[in-house]
Amino acid sequence: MSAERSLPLDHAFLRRVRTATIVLGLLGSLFVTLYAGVKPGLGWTAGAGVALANFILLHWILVRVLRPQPMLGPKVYAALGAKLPLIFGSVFLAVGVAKLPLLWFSLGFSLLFVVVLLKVLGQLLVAKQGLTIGDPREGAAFRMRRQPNGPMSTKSKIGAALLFVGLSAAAPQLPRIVAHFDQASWTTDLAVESMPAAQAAEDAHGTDAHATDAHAADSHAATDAHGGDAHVAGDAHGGDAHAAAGDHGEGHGEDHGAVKHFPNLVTYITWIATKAGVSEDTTWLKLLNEYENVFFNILLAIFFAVVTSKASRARAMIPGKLQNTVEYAVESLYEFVKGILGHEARRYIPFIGALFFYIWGMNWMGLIPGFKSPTAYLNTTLALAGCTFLYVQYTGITRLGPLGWLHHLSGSPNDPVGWAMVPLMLPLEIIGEIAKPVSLSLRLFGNVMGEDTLLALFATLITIGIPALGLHVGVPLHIPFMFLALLASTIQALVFTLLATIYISQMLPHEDH
Amino acid sequence: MEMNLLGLGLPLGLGLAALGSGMGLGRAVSGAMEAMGRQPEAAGKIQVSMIIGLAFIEALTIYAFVTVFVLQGKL
Repeated sequence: MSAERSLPLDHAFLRRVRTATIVLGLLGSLFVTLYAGVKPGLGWTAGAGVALANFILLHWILVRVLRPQPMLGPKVYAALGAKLPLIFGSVFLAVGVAKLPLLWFSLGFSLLFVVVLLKVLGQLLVAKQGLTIGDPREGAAFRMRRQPNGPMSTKSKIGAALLFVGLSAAAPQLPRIVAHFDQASWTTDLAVESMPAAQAAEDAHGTDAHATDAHAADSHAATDAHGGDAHVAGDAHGGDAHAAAGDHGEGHGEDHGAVKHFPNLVTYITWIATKAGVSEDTTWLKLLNEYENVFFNILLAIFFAVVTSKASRARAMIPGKLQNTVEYAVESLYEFVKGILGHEARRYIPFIGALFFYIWGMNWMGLIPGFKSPTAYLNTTLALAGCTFLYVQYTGITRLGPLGWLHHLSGSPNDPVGWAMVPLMLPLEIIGEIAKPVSLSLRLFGNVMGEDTLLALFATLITIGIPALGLHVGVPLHIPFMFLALLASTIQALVFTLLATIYISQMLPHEDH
Repeated sequence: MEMNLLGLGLPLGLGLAALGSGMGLGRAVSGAMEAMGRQPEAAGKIQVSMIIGLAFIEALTIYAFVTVFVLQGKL
């Protein structure tokens, strides 16, 4: 196999480099903004953006110049001439005028070259095995699915997995950036009026916590001094994150907080570890408690991965129990979505299906002893609703086109009166779009949280009832409500999915009018 | 022990929100049931739109509920 054929650094290669850089750049800017601050984040984004713009322009020129019949119009010359001033001008603007940190800017700028390097290395690896892209004998990392309209075409599984892990890791940190912008507003208002106990706890531990930390202390004031110590003396960022999310109800896995919850695996592990003499400030214990919900998310993801791969690996004509169940579940959801989206359902079923089963699983997790529902935590539902929001907007932009999307956002005007109403309709529609994820996340969070709290409250009534009624055995009062919770969890997962489907269907081009 | 009006206001407000939502839910479900009885063949479509409507109505109670949780620390 000749080198030219096995090392295709062609149009498709450049396109893949571009896509990978966009995805990595966005992920990177998310992470840099969350962990290093807003200015480095802006610097990174600007650097990656300048490099990307340069790359896209170069690609555009190359495509025109390197054709069998070169298209050397005035546009190409203009682009060639404008390239250098454009790039240097934007670098000057970003670093010289806007004073973005040079380190992060150059890191962002070099991202594209790192991607090119890695992609070339990957191509060399593929070429070494005598394979070309699209060869069915390729390894999993380079396999490109040749599905006609599949949404997963030309995306590697490893990339998807990395994206998933990255977003999961970033989600719990999101409130920190909210706190950065919002430190002066409502969090401090609440802190000023917070309970004296919070102030006392702060003084007792001698932390120089500022106003936002007082709010965090507030939510932990009801816990014992030991727990309060661990949380208040924790880093200021953690305090900010919890304060901004407003998650008093979370209880941090200690069921003696303001809101009662069943103890879960993390609680047990923490309890055993502290009994065994491990300090509460130990890194892994602190991480486990802080990322409790992510821990359960990952457990659920592993469960789904095992079940689906087991069900889909050895597919038989006459399905076994597991395959039958999974096929039945997937098919009925598909039929359901088909009722709304029609022939478009196939394209969107992977996202919608994943959303439904993931939320359903998370909701039901809270009913298993030793587990908790990650959806009873606002950050989880906010992340899910944020993903839905982004996906819906992405669908709108790609399916309607950028202009069609704007047209949709201005209330789809098609007569002079409609066009005159655009200045009024555009803000209204934008607010409506933003209200969607907010209501989605709050609905799911409130329902699951309420359910779990209800169950835990009725479970505590068992112990209260024993001395009051002179009984010798407690009556498990929460059992009837568990059936209610089974039903309500399913309905909430369905409602979230249904609304996501409706939002997607609104963003699709309508042929009928 | 000082009086805290929130202790009265939070449950009362939640109850009021639930009252309004309950009335709305009742109307929505009764309408959907009637429609399903009249047109059993359209039951699937009616059910889907009913669930969407119910979700929006019910969200109002959930907002009150979330407010209760946010303010619970101040009780």
